[in-house]
Amino acid sequence: MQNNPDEMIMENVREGNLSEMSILFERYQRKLYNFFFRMGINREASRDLTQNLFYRMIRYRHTYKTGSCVKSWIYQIARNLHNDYRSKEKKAGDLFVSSGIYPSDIAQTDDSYPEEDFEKLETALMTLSDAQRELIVLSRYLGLKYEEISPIIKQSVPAIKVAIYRAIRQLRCVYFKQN
Amino acid sequence: MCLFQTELKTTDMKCEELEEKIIDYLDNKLDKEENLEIEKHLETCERCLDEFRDLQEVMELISSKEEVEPDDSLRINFYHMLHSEIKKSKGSRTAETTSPWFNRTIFRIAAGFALLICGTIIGIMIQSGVRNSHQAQLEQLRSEVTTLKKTAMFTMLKEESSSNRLQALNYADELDAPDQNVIEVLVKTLNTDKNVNVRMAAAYALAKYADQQQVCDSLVKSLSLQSDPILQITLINILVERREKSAVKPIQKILTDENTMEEVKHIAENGIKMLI
Repeated sequence: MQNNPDEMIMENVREGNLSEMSILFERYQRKLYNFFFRMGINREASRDLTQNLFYRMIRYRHTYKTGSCVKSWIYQIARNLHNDYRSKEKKAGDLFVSSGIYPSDIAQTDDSYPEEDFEKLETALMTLSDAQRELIVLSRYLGLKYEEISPIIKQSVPAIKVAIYRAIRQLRCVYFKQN
Repeated sequence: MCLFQTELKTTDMKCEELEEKIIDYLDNKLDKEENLEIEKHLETCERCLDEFRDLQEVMELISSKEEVEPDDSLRINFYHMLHSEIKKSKGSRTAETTSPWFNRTIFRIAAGFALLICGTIIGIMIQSGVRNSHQAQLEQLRSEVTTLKKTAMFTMLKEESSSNRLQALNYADELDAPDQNVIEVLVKTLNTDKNVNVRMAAAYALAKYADQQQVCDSLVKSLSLQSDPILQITLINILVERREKSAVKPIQKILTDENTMEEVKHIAENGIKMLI
């Protein structure tokens, strides 16, 4: 059962075998947590959003359409949750939360790069728009293929390629200007 | 713009073409011919080479960032949520279809119980003088209800439909102090029921009484009997949450078993770290 494709598992969940959701949880929780975290949300809120995402999958399991890609579906929900979080944050006017990664959160980095480089990169990432940042997170941090990103953000593969090139180029400009 | 562009032959790559392909080149996604074309262009165009080096550094920096690890509360909360959703969903929509005949018997059983309870109340009222034994009445009623719930549980656990067996485990959840029989039936369900949802519900029902050494021991023992990843994860979570040191051995066994699913191994490893 643990080697079954996501789609078969999600169908079983929809038919009432809720416990199989734990397989999808184990497959995706880390990636999703990292998605929220890399989008600039603090650890605690990233955890709550990840939890909330699986809750939505269970609650709205009947809306899952047979044959549609579960991975895309999951990341679409993740995007919605992220957008909701941002708009709530705006309403609350909570500038502190929106300042992104906290110093204490920057950890677990490769030793071969000095810490300042990562801080500079982080600053450069903050200059990107949410849409650009999302592309970098999905393709570079989470390793999704362009073909997988396409249905999530509803853009064509060539358009995604160009957008990623532009985003990385902008990162480069900001990153090297800080030197 | 590229300074040498005008001097290049028409078959040579232009700077704009390089822009389109440079990310794929860095990701090693192009074929040999395209790679050669790009390398040739980079040799002749200094501006592109500069940009190429910068992009390479930024992309390497991005990919050298490791994933962050969520803390254990995420998993623990998820399994609690999943458990309560399973409880809520029982009966409403299940994979197995229940035949009308079954539904009718369930109604009959329920109606029987209702009658019994009414009868008991009337019986108690008639039997005892209305005044002095208010407390005793309540006590007796309570014990009647408990007995009924237990009987219902034992009966329904034997049913074919897994949603009925799940309902039975709900009754077990509602019992204040389960006796030896109830515990034994729950352990048997945890270890032998053919449905994962039912086994999982049994594990959570038992977890409530894990303060009793006997219950805790049977959860630990069950760990080496379960081969289903979902049950392995559920039990590890319950026992790690309780900081149950005697679970270390069976968890280690799961960890070294080559048939164990990767994710379970990961959880087992974290669990052992918390326990020792």
